[in-house]
Amino acid sequence: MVKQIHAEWYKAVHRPYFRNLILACALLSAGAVAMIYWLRDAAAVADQVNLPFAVASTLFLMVVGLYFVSVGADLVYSDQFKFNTLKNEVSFGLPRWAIYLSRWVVSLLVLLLALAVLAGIYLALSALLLGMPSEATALEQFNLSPNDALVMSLQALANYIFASFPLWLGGLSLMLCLMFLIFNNTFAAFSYLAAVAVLPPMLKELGNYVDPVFTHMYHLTLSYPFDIMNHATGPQAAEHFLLCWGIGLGWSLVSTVVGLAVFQRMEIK
Amino acid sequence: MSDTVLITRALTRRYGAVEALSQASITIERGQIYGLVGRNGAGKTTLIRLISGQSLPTSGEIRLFGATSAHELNRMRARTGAMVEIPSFYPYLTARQNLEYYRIQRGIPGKGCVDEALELAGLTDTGKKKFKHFSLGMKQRLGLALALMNQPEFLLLDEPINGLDPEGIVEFRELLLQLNRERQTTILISSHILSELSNLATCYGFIEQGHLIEEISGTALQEKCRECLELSVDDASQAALTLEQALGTRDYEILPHNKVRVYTLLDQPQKVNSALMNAGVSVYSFERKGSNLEDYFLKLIGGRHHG
Repeated sequence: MVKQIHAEWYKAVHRPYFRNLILACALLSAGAVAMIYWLRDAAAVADQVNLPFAVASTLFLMVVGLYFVSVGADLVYSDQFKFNTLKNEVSFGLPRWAIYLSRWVVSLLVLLLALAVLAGIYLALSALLLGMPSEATALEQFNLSPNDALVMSLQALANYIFASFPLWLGGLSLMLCLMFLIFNNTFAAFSYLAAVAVLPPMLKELGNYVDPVFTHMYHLTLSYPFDIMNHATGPQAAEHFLLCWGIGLGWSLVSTVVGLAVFQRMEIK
Repeated sequence: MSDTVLITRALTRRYGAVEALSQASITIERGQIYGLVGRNGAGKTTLIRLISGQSLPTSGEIRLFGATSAHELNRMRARTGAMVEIPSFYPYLTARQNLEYYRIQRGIPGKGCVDEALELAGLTDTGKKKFKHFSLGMKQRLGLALALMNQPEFLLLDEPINGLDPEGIVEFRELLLQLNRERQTTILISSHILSELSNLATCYGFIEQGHLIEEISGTALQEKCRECLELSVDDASQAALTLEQALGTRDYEILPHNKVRVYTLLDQPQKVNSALMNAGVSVYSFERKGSNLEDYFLKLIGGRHHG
């Protein structure tokens, strides 16, 4: 399957979409830091807008990754049905599981690269423009030394990413499964949004007002762990990690098995 | 090593209630150029798609290079090259980049095969032009380049000359004949342009409404389509005797309803007529006949419809 992954990567990086995505990620990060930089003078506590603060500010953005994975899957896969290129692979006898999984791996690689660009530029520019807090500010703001404050914020970020990563994988697997099963990419994307953004709050409300069984179902959705992501730091962290990895890998496994099973017998147009 | 490249046995593909292909059994020997003839929707593309693995049979068996299991069939498909329907590539890549992508994916070592395939298909000068800006003819050529890139033993070509200009058609024909001659590449080709197919194929399969109605070798078809003088006479036996004794030919055929076909003396019809008249044979009609692949196909499906 290494050959297929290599080929998919070759194709993905030659797609203008790839360059645009990386550029958009870089601009987004730079824009976010620039905005914080320009706005901090207007803040009442301007000196508290510093690097540890900037790192901590990203924690609530983890759920965005659940939507962002659709971009990675779209970049790698969206042109397959549109341009009917799968027939070239199938007619050469490439195993369908290798075709499917190579897309999964390359989507993940593209997303990791995008994440590295997002985080790298954000952290580098934050360090450059916002800088470290003074001893006094760090003590007042975090009750820690500047270095300890930074370590603490990075530790929290690492915990959040560690908890979110399997959920992103689950989202990516679901998105790819839908893209393989539904010929229309737009419809596949909307189906994905329905599954991760519309269904969970519906189940939650149905659980509250109709039957508690819906609450149990809500607890199995990819969105639920994000709703309690603050558990990723503190005494409940280990339990939360277990929940995130269980749900994330569960969705990954089920989506991939379903996607593969259907793709194995799918008519290639 | 077996000399049979492909055998299909009672191959059937059903889409709901519609049987796109019904009980098709064909055999293709190594080195053959098998022309698949049929109208639009007759089942030619379905058959090629089944062989190339794009579609799975409802029932029946495919034996490709002796393999029948799904896994083995996939392995054997690496020895084939396929061009099915309109060639499909990534529009934002150039011809070279598209082929490079498939080269990497198929694990073909060295980049020489990309250059060679582009050269064979006449696409060496496309440079940085993206696939989306290609003409239909160029797209067809790139499809052919991909099919040839792995030096296949068996080529599956579905309507490959659509969109090619006259010069391209001639080049394409020459290329296929060269591959067949020099590399012993076996070819299964479907085309609507029957005159072109007749320049290539060494055997034919006629397909109509999902059924393979006849398989015939090129030689047998040529025999059936041979030019002749077709006579309608009152006494076929006497006519035969006259042809042998007075005209010294045995290259004739007696058909039902006192019809006689004479395959020699095509440029001397008056001599045949006189000889028969002198022998007391009444000639009711006298016609020079001969058919090509197109006539034969039309007669075949016409006969089937009328039957």
